[in-house]
Amino acid sequence: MSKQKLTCPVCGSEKIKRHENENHAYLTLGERFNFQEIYYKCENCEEEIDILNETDKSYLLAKKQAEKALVKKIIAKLSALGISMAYFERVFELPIRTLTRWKNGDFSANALALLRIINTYPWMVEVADEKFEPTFAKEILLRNIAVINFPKNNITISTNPVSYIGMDACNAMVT
Amino acid sequence: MRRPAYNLKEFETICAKPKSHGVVLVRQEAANDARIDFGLDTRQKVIKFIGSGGLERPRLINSIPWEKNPEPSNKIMVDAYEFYSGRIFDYMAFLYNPIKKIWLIKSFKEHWQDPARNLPFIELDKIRKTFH
Repeated sequence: MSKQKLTCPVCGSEKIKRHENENHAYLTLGERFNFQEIYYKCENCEEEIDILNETDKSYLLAKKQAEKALVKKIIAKLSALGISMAYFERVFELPIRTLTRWKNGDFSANALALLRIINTYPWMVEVADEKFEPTFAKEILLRNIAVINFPKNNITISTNPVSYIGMDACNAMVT
Repeated sequence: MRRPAYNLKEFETICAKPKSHGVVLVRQEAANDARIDFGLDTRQKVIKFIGSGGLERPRLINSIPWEKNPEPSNKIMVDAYEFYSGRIFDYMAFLYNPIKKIWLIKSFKEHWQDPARNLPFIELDKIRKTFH
C-alpha cells in the first residue's frame, strides 16, 4: 500500500517539514506532565499545523495519566480528613462505589470538576449533607472566612473550629 | 469604516459543526496559546468553544491581507477580533482559503492591550491581590 504524500492543508505545498519537540503542561491542581509536540511547517506559506493530530493525541494521553494521579490524591486527602467514600457518595447522591470507580481511573471531566471544587471548599460536603440548605451554606462559608490567616501583616483571625471540615482542612488539601 | 472579510456568525456556525460545514484548522502557535491562556487544550476544544458562542462581545480590530500568502493572485484576508471570555480579554485572527476550502485560526490568545472597558477588571484584580 502506498503512503499518500502529506501536503500543507493551508496552501497545498508539498514542501513541509516535520517538527517534533518535548513540551509540558500543568494540570489544574495537579502535577506537571510532558507531551510530544508534533507539527509540520510549510516552507511555502510558513504555517505550522499538526496535520495528523499527533500533538493532541500525545497530550491527551499524558494528561489522562496526570488526572488519574490527581483523582487518587484528592480522594486520599478526603479520606485523611475523615470524609469516607461512602459518606461522599451518600451526600452527593452518587451511586454506590462511584468513588472506587473514579479511584481506578474510570472518571469523567464532570467528576474531576466536582473533586476540584471539594478540594478547594471541603466544607461543601457538609453543605451537601444539609441538602444545600441556603442559610446553613451561608453560615458555614462565613465561619470558614473567619479562620483565614493573613501572614503578610502577621494578623491571625481565628475562631473556635466550627466546621469539621474547616479552613485547616482546606489548607491541608492539594495545593 | 472597518469591514470584516468574513461573516463571523457564519464562521461560528462552521465551528459548531466543522465536519459537515467545512474544515477548520488551528495553527500550532494558536493551539499552544489557547491551551495556556484559556485551558482549551486541544484543537477540537478551541473550535467547539468558538462554535458554542464562546466569543463574548466580539469586536473587529482589522481585516488585512494575509502577509504570507504564497499566491498573491488569490487574495486572502485575515480578520482579527477582540472579545471577552468571562473576565479575560482576548484576541483571535482567522482566514479562509477558498481554493483549499479551509478556515485557519491563526491566533487565539489573551489580549494584553488594555482598552478602557477593561479597566474595572484591572482595578478589581488589584483589590483582589491586596487581600491575597
